[in-house]
Amino acid sequence: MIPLQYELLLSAALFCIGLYGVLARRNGIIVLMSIEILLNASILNFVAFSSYSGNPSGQVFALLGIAVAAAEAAVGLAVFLSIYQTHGTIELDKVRFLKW
Amino acid sequence: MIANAWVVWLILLLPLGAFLVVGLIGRRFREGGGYVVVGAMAGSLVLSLYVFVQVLSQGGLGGSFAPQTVTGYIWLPSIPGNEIRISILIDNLSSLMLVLVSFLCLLIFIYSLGYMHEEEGKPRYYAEVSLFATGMLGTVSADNFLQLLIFWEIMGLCSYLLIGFWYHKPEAAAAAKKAFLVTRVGDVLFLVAVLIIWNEFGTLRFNEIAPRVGLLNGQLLTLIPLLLFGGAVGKSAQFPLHTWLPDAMEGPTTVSALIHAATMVKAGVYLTARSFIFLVPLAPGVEPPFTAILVIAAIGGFTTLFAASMAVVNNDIKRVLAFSTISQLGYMFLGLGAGAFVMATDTSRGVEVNSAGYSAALYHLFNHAFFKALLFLSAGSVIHAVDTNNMREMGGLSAPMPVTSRVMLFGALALAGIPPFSGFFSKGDILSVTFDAGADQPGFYLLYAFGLLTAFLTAFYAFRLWFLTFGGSYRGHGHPHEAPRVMTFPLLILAGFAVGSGLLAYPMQGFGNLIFFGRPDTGFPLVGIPWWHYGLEAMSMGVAGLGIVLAWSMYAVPQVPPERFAKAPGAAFIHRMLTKRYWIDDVYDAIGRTVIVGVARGLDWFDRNVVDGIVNAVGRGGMRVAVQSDVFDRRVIDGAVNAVSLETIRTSWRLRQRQSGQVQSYAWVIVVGIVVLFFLMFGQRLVERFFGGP
Repeated sequence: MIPLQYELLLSAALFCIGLYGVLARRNGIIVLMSIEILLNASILNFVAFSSYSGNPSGQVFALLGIAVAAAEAAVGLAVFLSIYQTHGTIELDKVRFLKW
Repeated sequence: MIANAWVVWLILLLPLGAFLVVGLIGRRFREGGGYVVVGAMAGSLVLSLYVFVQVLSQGGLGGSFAPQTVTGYIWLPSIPGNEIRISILIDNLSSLMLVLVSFLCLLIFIYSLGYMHEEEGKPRYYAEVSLFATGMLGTVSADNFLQLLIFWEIMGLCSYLLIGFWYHKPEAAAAAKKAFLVTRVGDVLFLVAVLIIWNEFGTLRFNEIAPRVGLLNGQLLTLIPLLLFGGAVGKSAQFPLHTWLPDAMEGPTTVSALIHAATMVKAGVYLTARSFIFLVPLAPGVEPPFTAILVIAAIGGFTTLFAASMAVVNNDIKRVLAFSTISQLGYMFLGLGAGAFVMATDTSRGVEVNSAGYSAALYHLFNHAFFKALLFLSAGSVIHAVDTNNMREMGGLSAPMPVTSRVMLFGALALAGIPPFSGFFSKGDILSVTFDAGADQPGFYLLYAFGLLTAFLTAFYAFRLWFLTFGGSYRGHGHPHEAPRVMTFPLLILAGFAVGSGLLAYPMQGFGNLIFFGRPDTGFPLVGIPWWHYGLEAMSMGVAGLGIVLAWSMYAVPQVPPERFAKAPGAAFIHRMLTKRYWIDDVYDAIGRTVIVGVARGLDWFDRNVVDGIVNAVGRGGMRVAVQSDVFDRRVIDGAVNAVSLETIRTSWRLRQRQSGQVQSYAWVIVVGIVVLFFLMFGQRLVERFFGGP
């Protein structure tokens, strides 16, 4: 049995990596992937607490989160594809037309 | 009871309808609607005769016809039984007056067809005379004082319009204004009387007031007939409100005839006759208002002499007749006053009442209507021929105008009071009654002397007029000619009445029975008359003859040149005084100019300085407040609104700078925000956990 602390530390590390990817990378696809890492970090939390407490509802949430993540990835890829088609780039610091 | 009593409405409505039709579309008719008006008036005459004959046949002669009211619609609603209705009263007096007025109006309208033939504005003339006739017919048939006043005022309006018929002549416009304003003085008194009557009795109908007169106190019983008489003084041109009538000669001669013979001035006599319900109360035990009676008799007696004296020196043919009218109306009021006095003393003594004076006055009204219409219309025919009013430019007109000269002679004889012409009977009756009244009140002997002297002057000026116009040789220019037949025809009829109207009453056992005032004037004429009355009649006839002889010697065979009188010392002053009309017009003018204009100036000053000052000050104050309010509005209220909006714009400007479109910078804000929130929520617990807490 792996202690809970390790799982939480792994989850926190994943979250930090994801956060870094979201905040610092320019490529939209990378940012999308980083969001997946963020989601997976939180899902790992759910699973860890579920196995720790013996309550299976955390695992249900994990499954739900995976489904949402899949949907999110699909929508996100579609948005970036569309942006690419209209603006010719998916560099996020160039995609800044939603402003005053 | 009168059969078909509703026809009396038509007597009024026919001339009223003619007024509307001719007034609106008179131009489309021949003679400017003259025939329409004549036709309507003929209809009124026929209906009046129809009513009159019924009144006579149902006991009017014996005096037992019960006055009948033809009730009309409610004009002013009030407590039931107290409403003011437009109704028509039919009794002996009103039915006779209806016939008299419609007959004379008809003749005058027919005469107008010739006289006004060449005038401009005929529709206006015919419409107005028709309304005038409506006014008089309504006045004499009114059943209450208010209705009487309304028609009375309609006549006042029409007299104004017709006297000023040639409104482009300044004298005519001024005369119209004068007639309107002077009669207005009397009308106000009349109105006051009507208000008092309403206040005291709660009704204005003659027949309802008469039995209740006893309810009045003595002062009001004197005041009401005096106020009513005030109205009559204005309308009938008695002293001191006589000044409008001579000036009213500026209108067409037919209008003068209408005013003098049939309408207007006769309304005053009629009103005073109606006010006998106050002068001679029917209720037993009521002290009659002798003061009011004496005032009426005195003003009548004075005016008759006063006006006759002015007629003597005037050279305007129409003005002589105008003064003559004032004088003859004075006779009527004298007769009414003396008659009321005799009746009142009889009543208070409880002896059988002798209403001779009342009937004599109305008898004179009746006769005067015919001969004065005759005189005016003949004068009109003369003026038509010679184109001037000045008698000094006439003379010798008998030859070219045989009909006019003869009918005017009839008129002059009637006016002078020579038997068997009509004026003799009624004037003699009035003088006899005045003499009889002297037995109880010696003042009436003085009034009798006035009346007798006037009879002399009347005969003198009447024949002075006739001799100057028709005697001698022609002094003017042009070629006088007889009037057309449409004008001479009414003259001939009127001449017949000037002879006959005096005799007409005798087959009816005296005129008194005809106009019956609740007490029959009994007795067959010439029987039962006191012996001295024959002496009085002879005396009035004698002075009249004397006047004619004097006029004849002065103007027909110039034995006594008039200049001898005019230039004699002392007489010159009198002559001047008479030609200046006793300076009364001048005095009234001066009063008008100084007092009224002075008061008006004072009021004008007050208006400009005080009233306008207040108004302007208020206005200026308002403006100042408005300026302050404007400043406050602009600076404070607008300032606040603008400041709020400006600040909003500025804030929004600053805020939208933060929206860069850089998604990752938003993410940064979110992360930082979450961290900050985390520390805010859990910071304290973390510090306690790791540093041991307090």
